[in-house]
Amino acid sequence: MKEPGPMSENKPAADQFDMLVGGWLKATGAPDSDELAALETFVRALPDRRRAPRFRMPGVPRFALAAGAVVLASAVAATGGFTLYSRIIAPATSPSAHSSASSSAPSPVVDATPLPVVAPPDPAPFVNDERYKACQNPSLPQNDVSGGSFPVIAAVELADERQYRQRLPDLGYVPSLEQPYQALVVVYAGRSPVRDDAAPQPTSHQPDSGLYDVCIALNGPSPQLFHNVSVYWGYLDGSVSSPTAGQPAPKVLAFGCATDIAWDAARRVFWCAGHGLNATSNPTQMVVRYDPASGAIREWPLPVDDDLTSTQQTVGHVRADSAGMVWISHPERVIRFDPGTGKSQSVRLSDVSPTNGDGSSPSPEPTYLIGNSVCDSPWFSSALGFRAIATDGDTAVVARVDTPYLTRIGPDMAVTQIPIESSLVATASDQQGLEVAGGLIYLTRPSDSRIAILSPDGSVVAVSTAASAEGHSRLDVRPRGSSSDVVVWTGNTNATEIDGAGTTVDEIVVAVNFPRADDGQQQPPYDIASDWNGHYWYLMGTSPVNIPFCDAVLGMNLVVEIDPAP
Amino acid sequence: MLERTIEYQSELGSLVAASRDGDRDAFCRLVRPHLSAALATAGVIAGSHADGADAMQNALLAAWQDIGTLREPDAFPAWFRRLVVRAAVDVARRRRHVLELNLAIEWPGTDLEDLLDRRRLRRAFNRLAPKDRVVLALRHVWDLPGAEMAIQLGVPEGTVKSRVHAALRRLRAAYEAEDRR
Repeated sequence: MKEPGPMSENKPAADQFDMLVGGWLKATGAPDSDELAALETFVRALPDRRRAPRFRMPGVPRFALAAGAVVLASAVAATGGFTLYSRIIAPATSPSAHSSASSSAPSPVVDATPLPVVAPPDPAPFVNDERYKACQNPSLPQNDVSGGSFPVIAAVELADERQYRQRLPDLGYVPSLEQPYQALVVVYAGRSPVRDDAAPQPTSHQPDSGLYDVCIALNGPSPQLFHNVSVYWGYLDGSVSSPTAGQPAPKVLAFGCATDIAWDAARRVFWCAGHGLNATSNPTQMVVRYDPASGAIREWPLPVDDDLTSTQQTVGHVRADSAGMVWISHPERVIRFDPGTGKSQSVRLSDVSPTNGDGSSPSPEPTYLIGNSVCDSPWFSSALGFRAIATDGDTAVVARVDTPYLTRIGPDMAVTQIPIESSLVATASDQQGLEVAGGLIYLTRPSDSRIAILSPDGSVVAVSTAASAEGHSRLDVRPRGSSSDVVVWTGNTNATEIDGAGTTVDEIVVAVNFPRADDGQQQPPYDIASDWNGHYWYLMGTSPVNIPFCDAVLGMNLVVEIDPAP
Repeated sequence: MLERTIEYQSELGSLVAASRDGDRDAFCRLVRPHLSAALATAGVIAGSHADGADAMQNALLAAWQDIGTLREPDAFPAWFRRLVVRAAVDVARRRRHVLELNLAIEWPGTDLEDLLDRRRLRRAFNRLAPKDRVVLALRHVWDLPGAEMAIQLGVPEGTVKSRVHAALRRLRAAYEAEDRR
């Protein structure tokens, strides 16, 4: 008689199940000797620590760097690698991916002017260069396809690695290449010693037609490798000025704020909330204050309970009010944080709401729970504007999905409702942006992505002529003199400023080459805030955009300042 | 084995000090005893051997770069475990769509039914949140006792038990859901 399978018909008791899981995990995870040997090889090839400035964050003081040291390790993983050892990054894939990206968001690198024919820069002078050799045999154990020869069509030395922005504009912005050191660029003629993710390992990668695999190496066996890069030799050798020349570079100021940034005009600081700059060493959610003038960063842990420590539930929006309090939205609650005392109060909206959006009885689950079709697990819809929070004086106003009213929370945490018309009620699949400025409430209208402007009682007084682009319905109040116009995000690098009548008063285009993700598309920032100088501040996800929302939310993000008029 | 462990413990201080000074050989000796369990754990949390290796590279690099911040050499194993778990969780979150646990393992039994069961278990495990994978991996792959898991996770030992129990409960529920598909 056949023994039953480990988990089949006869369900095992709990202890037995535990043992079975243990046995399976041990067997599944056990590495073989080759894998261990490869890791030891990796350890022996670690870069010289003295020569390895891992990342410079302009304006961030050393103590902040020290505090964020662990974060950097995690950012290595989150950014796809800015380390000094080999790593595969695929900034662009197929030509079709490029055209798709171009149609939805014109890239600043596109130039219709015919370019002069330029020969590839000769790689011969570099064949004995250690960096060149490293590009032939990058030390990446699990991708090791060394032993072969990989013909090179071009090589050029960059006096400063950051010149990649001009020499290889197709790469977009790559944080890992923002190093002020000489670097060698090697362009493979065909196959490269780069793992082809789609093929059994080890297999070298064959770039798509018309594109190249590129290696960029600092001193030491630590090149970075890029799939399918569009290379123009004139840009690469510097003989033709790149369209990205002179463009402002995003300035990465901090890592780790999870989902939102807000400008606090009273204190002239930014606030963000999420796992914080020490996120990787502590799962506690943090509220973070960043002073752009001094670079000072201060963090406070939010109250610890099951809601806030869950890695699957992350804080959503953060806003500062006129009383100096910071309001933070969370899937389960809204928190009012007092930076002066470090204490916070909160109100659980799912408890106080009388009904769900459909009029049914209160659910034990918050109404903004979204399903598991994308992420294989439940995710709460707080982070990309599904649930938005704004401050109005010393109160907070909250928009929730499937809810026919806005919720106003007073400084005493008392909750009142502002009814809104049905066309303004967002579902979980809609973006929902909210701001309060000049006594008016600005709220995205899901049906046409325009901005409805409401009086304090919730009645619509105007609708914007400008639509926010799908997926970018973030709003932000931009101080300009005494006015309180609202900036509507309309695309990757575009925004529209509207006034209280919904009229467009300014079009804003920030010519910045945002990074490309694995699908070749530019990676848009997903939050915007503006400071007193009219600088725009973006919260930019570093996870590839083709990974669904859930990963982008929990991915390590960058706070980036971009000066539109450098 | 015991002698080796004692020898390693006695050398821990000097290995950490030498690693701080940039001695790669010392660093290699420092991490070597942990590599097997670390790589296995990282692979289980990250979802595949390749991603586990990727996470291990990140963890090793972070350990190499940041070992100067480690004040107590005796804390190295726990500190290194934290780096490994953190790196693996990061990879898991970034690549949660990648599922590639080793199906070729002979465990236990070889018939088709067992194979299908293992596949169900694999799919169920891959549906777990990283935090659940972490507790199960620390318990079953790194073989940490409850007290050390408590230190590792920064929670009381009783909480560790409840987390393990909850993770197993979710795994079992996911497995049974797979069974019904």
